[in-house]
Amino acid sequence: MAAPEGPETFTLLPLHLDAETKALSSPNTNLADHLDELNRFHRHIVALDTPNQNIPPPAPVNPKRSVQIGKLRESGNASFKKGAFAEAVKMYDLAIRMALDRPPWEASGLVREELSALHGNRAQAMMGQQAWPEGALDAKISTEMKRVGNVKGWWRRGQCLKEMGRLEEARDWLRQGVEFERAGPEKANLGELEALLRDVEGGLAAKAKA
Amino acid sequence: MSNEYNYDNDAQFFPFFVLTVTSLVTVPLTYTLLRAPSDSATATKAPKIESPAPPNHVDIIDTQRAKQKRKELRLKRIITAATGWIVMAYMIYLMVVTARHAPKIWNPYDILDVGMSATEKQINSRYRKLSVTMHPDKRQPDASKNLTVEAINDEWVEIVKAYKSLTDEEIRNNYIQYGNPDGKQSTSFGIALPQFLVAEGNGKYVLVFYGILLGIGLPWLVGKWWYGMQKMTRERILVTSAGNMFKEYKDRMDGGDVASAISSAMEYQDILPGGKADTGLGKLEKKLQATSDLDLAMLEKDKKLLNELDDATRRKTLALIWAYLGRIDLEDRTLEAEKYEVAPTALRLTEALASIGLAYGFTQPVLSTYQMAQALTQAIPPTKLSLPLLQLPHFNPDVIQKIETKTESTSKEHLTVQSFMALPAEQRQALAQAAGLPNDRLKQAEQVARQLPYLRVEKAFFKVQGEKYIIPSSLVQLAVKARFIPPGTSKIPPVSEADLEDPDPAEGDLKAQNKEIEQHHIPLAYAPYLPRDRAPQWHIFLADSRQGKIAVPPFRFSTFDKPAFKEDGTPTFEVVTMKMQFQAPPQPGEFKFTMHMVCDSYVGFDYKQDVTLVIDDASKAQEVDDDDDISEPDEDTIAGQMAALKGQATSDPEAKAKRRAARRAAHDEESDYESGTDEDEESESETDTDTDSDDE
Repeated sequence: MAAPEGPETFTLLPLHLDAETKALSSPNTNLADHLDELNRFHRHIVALDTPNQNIPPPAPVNPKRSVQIGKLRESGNASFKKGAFAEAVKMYDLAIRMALDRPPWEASGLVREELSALHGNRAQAMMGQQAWPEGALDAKISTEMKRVGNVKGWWRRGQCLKEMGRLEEARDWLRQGVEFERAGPEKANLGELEALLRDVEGGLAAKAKA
Repeated sequence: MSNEYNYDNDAQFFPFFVLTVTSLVTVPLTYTLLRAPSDSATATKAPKIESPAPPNHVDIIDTQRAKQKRKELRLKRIITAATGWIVMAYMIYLMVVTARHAPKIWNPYDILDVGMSATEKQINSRYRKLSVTMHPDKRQPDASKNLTVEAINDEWVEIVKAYKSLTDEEIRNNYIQYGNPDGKQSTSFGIALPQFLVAEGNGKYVLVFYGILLGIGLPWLVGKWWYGMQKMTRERILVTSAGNMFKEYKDRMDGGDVASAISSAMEYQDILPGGKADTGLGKLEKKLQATSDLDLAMLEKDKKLLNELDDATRRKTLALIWAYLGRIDLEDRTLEAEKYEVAPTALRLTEALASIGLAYGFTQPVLSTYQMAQALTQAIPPTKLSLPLLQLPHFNPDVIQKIETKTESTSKEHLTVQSFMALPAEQRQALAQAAGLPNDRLKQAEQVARQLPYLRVEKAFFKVQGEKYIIPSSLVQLAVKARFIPPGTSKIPPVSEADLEDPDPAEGDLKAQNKEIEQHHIPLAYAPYLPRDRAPQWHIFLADSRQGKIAVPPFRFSTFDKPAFKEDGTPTFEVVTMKMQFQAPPQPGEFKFTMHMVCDSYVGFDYKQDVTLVIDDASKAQEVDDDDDISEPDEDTIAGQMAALKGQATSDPEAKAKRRAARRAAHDEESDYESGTDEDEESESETDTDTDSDDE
């Protein structure tokens, strides 16, 4: 927020400290986001189990959370295999929330990695339910988090767009995907992407003729 | 013998002085005036697209337009220059009219009335003759002829002087040296200042005048210039504004962010000074909040952004920008006027923001600023929800929505002008009828659409002038061949292949190489809401889509080498060429870029396609030069002896022949190999680049 006054001016903002939870709140709605962040940070510190509640170094990530996320994902995958897509989506939801809730001192690259995988999986579950728009969005998030080496993510959004009949967008998206993955580590799986692209292009050509 | 300074008593030389001084100021000023900025120059030259249906409050827009024009005219300078020219003209008039009395040159021959070549004898006899008639003893004063004794004496003295100067050695020397037989005369200098400046008692006024001029005027002028320079950036915006926008810059910006960023500039302080910033702000915001999302594509986050602003001027500016973009009727004449006044300033600031974005090199913010420029020109929200069809008269969000639901478009993108106009005429009519748009109004809208300059790219390729291959670090040109095809044009003639070629002028043909490219203007942007004339510009740049960064910064095109429209407004379908030059990457390989072409005045005319730049190895281009070998020194020359002493090869005929044969063999092998690759290449692609277009 850009204050019109100089840096010397002190403005008293209406803040309220909850006596029990020690959470800050304010009637000023503009501050809500900042206060949320602050409160969350506070909760993380309170929940620390390190001696003297010192903030631990970022390097060895607290294994508990990773294990929990991993477990949630596993159970989500299991449900998916059984065909219980709604159940799987719920599991992935929880895992995503947990991943997003990592304390700010842990490496953010890890969050990206986890979220990319989780959103990708959720997209697959959504596709299983034929919820194409949701799947497309999830797949998009997945690729935003990890652009290269994520053939599945590109493929899923392309498939969703195709199912929705948004062929032009699907074509553009798949082309972009092929462009990114061409030199990536998953070069071997590029064929799937290209096959889908050919499929979409064929559909477009047929539409143009009609 | 004294030197004497004369002031210009009878205003003889003073016009020269004034003329010189005035011209020193006036001529450069006039030059800057005549060499007006390119924008307004094109404004006068380029044709206009007439609007068949004026928008609401057209009178307010027109007053704002006149105001903007006055700002650009620089009235003060024009008056100064005009005054200067009037003064100069008057001075020239004075110079012509004033009779000049140049001092006569004393010429003894004239006085004696003899030729310049007269001998001494002739002079003597002439003198004697004159002495008979002119000697004072021989003449009588005659009152009727105004002949007094003094006059007679003077005349005689002159004659004697002249005679002496021609005969007497000493006096003759005087005459030759000083131009006067009497010896050195006093010199007089004329100073081209009027007398009154130095007259008794005027001195102090002159002193005060100079004091003001040099003590106050000059420092003020220099100071104003210097601080004026410091306050402005190169894009002619205030440095503080640039600083503010710099802070607002993010690596990802959408239309709302851009609107917020340009509202942070200080330029609006002039439009909304002091109390004006607060008046009507409440009403304005209420209006914004009340408007439905359909009319005003203002996202929740943008509304929040507006609410978080503390500064009243900025808050009002941002609200006004949104109101302008949403074409919201503010029901208040002053607010309406402010709304339209803000737009041209905002438009100028988008350019500055684009250059900030370019410094970072990310594609997305730059594209957003260009889209903002389009949005501001057309008064259409810059977000994805914006409707390009709003550019046409009589089209409002309601009508467009009805039309769009009727056309079974699968894409989430909104209908662009060109895709709407591409529909068959009957279908268009049916759609408009269903949406409640009468036929005559649709006709008017179509009329406007048929005049919009939609630039369709026919071909884009890379080349190096005069070379066959593109080698690393060479100066590459991206040539874009395109045609202006207004939306809804039926019967588009096919492009001839020859037009898509870009032949280089022959190497020796200097005339062709130096030929100036013709410049043809495009009609001014059809922007009924923008209170300013705007010449559309096309920006072309290359982006690396993988990194989301700009690889080659934008080149701007506002004039083209072929006319786009004929006199009567029908398209010529001529292929125009746009070229941008940049340095190729330093290593060989295939480089994939996305070419973006953005018109900054119309929404929905953006175009992008993939282009591939193939850089060949440098050896390929050198192979041609390989043939000429440097001759080795002969055995019997000094150079040959030196070479032999050093143990190098001399031209022993036999050895030479052997070497040559070996080289030829090697070369043959090499060329065989080369031709093999050539064939491969040809089978792959005809030209150096293969382009696939995204056009539908």
